[in-house]
Amino acid sequence: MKTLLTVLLTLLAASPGYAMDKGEEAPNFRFEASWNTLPGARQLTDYRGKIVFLEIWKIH
Amino acid sequence: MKGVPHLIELNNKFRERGFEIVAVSDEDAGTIEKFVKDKSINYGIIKASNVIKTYGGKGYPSAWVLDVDGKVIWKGHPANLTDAMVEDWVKDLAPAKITKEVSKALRNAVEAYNKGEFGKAETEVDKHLGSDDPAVKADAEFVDGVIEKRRAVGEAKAAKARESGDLPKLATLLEAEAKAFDGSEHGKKCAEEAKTVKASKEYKDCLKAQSELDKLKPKINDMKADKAKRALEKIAKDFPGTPAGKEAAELAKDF
Repeated sequence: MKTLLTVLLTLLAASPGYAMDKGEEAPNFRFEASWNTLPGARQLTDYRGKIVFLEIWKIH
Repeated sequence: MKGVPHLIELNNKFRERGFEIVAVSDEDAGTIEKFVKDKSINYGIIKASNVIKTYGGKGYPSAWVLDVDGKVIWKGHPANLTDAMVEDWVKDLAPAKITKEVSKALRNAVEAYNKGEFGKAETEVDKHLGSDDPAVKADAEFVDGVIEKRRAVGEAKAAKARESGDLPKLATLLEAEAKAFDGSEHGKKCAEEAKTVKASKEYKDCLKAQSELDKLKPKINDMKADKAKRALEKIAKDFPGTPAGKEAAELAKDF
């Protein structure tokens, strides 16, 4: 259920052709798993008050 | 992954000053975990799906820098991120710890600050702001400035929660600030506001809305669409302006 909600919310935030640009508020997302993150952080908005370097990467 | 050492270095240099790396992958948790261990990665790694679609990145890796309010201030390839850029972004943030060497008179203040006891740090600093020793006075002003930044960060977070009507979050924030700034005027002010917030009808409505939505959510997929929609809309209508009310209104659109 939670996963479904996450997917729905993510879809809501993503309109076609959307590319996040300067000045825009970064869409929130929940962490499905995390390593070395801020204590208690479950989602991106838990990082408010910090300068956040957000990287999307792949190992393979 | 050529970028890993670069990010480890940035993390080591800037994390204590308020710079957080959030590296998101949608690969499976076991693969990520092995990679994190093998490369001794010490910065934040997240598993989350669909983020690249939402953010519209140009392939892997893509990166953005967000300010304290979550707004984008930079985007590009991670390799183009320099120390000087990060230095410029963190210079106005309150550091988690003061690492600068200070005069003996200020050591108690720094120690209190580093433990998160900002009220106590303030009391200590106040004793030395009028010092005749210019070095002590300068250090006192420096620590005072850091405490001031820290207070501003807390106030900005509270303002955000106040603005969005998230009163439970506001109360939690204010209580945490009251504790951290215990013994100072600011701490007293936060404690008083937390009390006022928690006594308000709006605060109680937020909690009620959240509890109703929490009760509804596990059942919603087994309900008929129109019934689910009505139930969500009822929460939205009964508790407008609350975070759970807004979430219910958003969810109702999907049914």
